[in-house]
Amino acid sequence: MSGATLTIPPLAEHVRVARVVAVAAARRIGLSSEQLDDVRLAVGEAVSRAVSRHIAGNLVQDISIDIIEVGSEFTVVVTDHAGVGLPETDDGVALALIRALAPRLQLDGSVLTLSWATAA
Amino acid sequence: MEIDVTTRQESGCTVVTVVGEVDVYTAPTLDEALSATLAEGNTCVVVDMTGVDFLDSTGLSVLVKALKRIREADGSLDVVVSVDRVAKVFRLTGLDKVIPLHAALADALDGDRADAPAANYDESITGGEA
Repeated sequence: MSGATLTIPPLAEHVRVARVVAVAAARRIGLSSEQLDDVRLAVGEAVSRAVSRHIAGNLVQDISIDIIEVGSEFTVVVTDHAGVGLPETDDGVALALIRALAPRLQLDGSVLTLSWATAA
Repeated sequence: MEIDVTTRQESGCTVVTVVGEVDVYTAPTLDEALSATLAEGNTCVVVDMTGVDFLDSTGLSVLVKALKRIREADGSLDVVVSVDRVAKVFRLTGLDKVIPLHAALADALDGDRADAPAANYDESITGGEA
């Protein structure tokens, strides 16, 4: 098992960094190029959503992005501090996109977990 | 990374050319350019995204906002997309049924603008209503 943790301030300009780091890690464990595209978009949407939730709630804490590689499984956990009950700011488009892109998704309050597996 | 958005007139339409990544940080730049174009009274608008290699839902929402204003003015909004992963975002959200997509700028300017929706409906997740 290996991985990395990235923490970013809740600012739109930092979302790209999370995308780049996640895709670099996904490439290293051998996800296909189509999967890399899905990781790029899904992680971008997940982190954008977290940033939007912090902005909506006037929260200044950092957002955590944990990248976990276990065997052939690649998991990204995005954790914000906005809790439950906050309405989706975009009518749920970001979550719908993430559901379409990540084979496994778990949303538990402030913790959004996305997973992919290598084909092999 | 910044995006580069330029606007010009061609074949009676306003062509808005976007280069770079359109995301939550850069989408406001595209929004400003489209809003300025619409404020000038242009109702035939082609957004050329040939040079866009990443697009997220905030970028899409900017296009949807422009589309609403253009429809109110009986105009047309067409989008040129040549990168697969960018076209996929339109398909996944069903927006390809609402905004005509073209593979090349010439097609968008020559063709039946805003008459026919683009193909590839199979991956829609929103049922087609935007």
